Amino acid sequence: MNQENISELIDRETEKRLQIMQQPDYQFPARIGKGDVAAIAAAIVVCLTLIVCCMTGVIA
Amino acid sequence: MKTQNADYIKQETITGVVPMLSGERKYSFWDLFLSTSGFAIATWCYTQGAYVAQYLSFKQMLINIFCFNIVWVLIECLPVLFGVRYGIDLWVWLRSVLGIKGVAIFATVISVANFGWYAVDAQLFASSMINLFANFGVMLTAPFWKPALGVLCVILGTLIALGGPEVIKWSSRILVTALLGVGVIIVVLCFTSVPLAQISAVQPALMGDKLTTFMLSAEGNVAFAFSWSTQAVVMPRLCRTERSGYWATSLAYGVVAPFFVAAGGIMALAMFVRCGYYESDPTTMLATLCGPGFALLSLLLVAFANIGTQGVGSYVNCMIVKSGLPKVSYRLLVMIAMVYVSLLTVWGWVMEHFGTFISLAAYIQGPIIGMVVVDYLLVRKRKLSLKSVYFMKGHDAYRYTGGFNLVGLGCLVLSFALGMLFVYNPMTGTVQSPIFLVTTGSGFTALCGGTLYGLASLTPLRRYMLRDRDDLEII
Repeated sequence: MNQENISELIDRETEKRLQIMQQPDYQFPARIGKGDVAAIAAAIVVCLTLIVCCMTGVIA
Repeated sequence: MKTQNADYIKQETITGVVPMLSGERKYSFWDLFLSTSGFAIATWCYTQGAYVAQYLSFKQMLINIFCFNIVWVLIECLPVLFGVRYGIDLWVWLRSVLGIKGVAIFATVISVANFGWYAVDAQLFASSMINLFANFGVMLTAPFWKPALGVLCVILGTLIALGGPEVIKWSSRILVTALLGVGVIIVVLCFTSVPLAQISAVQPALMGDKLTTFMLSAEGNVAFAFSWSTQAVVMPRLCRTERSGYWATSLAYGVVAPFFVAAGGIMALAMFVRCGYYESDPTTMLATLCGPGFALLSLLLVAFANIGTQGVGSYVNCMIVKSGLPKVSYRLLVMIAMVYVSLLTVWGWVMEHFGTFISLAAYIQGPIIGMVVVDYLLVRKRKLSLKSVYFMKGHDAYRYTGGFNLVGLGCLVLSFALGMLFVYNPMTGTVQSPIFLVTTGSGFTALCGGTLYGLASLTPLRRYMLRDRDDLEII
């Protein structure tokens, strides 16, 4: 396959896939939930607290 | 011809930039977690741990390693969510932030820099193998065997990369499970060999006052966390749900890799208690602490971990380059990468300047992390014009000035320069301002990049940055 064919092939396939994704019945992967967001936030807060404790000498 | 085209499309979906549809995803949480962990675990974890262990108390070392890594990995992995949703990788989204030519340049520059890690990986593999053979009485001459074994590691990794995600998935299922087991055994052996009380009583060396020492160690860990960032959103597109993609990636880079860094730190402290000096080579540490019989355990660790890292690293970075240069064949890129990493391995410069190298690389990755997180969550609010990002006919929202998004590039260059000139210079290791004691140098570049980009979106530049709002057909 020459370079032009490859380029056309990729573009054509990408367009086809975008059309499939545009269909109303296309199922996107399930989104993360509120529990995940809460877990991310909690982990960051706990880590930052421990870091601040080290920076201020509370944890030596 | 039709079959050839179908095969090519299949290959382009798995090892290219064509978006992956929901029904084609083959990775579960465990597949991605094990593959990514296999990528993250390598001998450099021990090098990093042994370095931090010299300068911090035992408790501070553990907090420094785990907490800085967890915080930054949880943030930098947020783009995984769009990677899974649309079946694309970070660099496809970045076309909207940097422009198509900006992506081509930075994807290549960052991959060229990332491959430096794999030269370090190959060199550590070679020196560990030489030490290991020495433990068994076989003396290998370093000038010949070091480059030879290093190149062997690169070649074996290349074979895994050529196999693509399926080979990576199955090799990771076996190897990484074994590696995780070995890691736990190593930590247990260290604590039974040298009591915890003695390890935690080791007094650290200081590099200035205590806070400066703590933050200089943090700089290493933040740079370590950042080193995954531009590679972290490549494999999750193979995953079936956002949750499995996000947590598998975050836990591998944020917990498993730091666990092995901590294991390196604990071993280095145990070596100090036992022998009076710090050591970073796991084969030497295990043989000294637990006897030569355990050197076999380290053979498993070093050989499998480093070769697995080469394989996944080659796959991921060649995919990054493909995002900028989509028409180049994946196999060709893997072969070029093999030659390039082999040359770097034989040359040895990166290994000699490891600390400077990872901080410099982090200074380019930091602003990109900041900008992409702000772009995804605050500026574009999780909505991208997929048709524009692939430059479909009539969809031109991301055709910026000459192929460059000047706002994104400006924020990147400014953050790099400000960090280098006024916060911390990784070339000389000089702290330039008290800001470093709060953010670290690498952390500053990410915060600065994100802040500048967010502020720019509040000015009239918003019209330049956000021309895609009436072109959101796939969301």
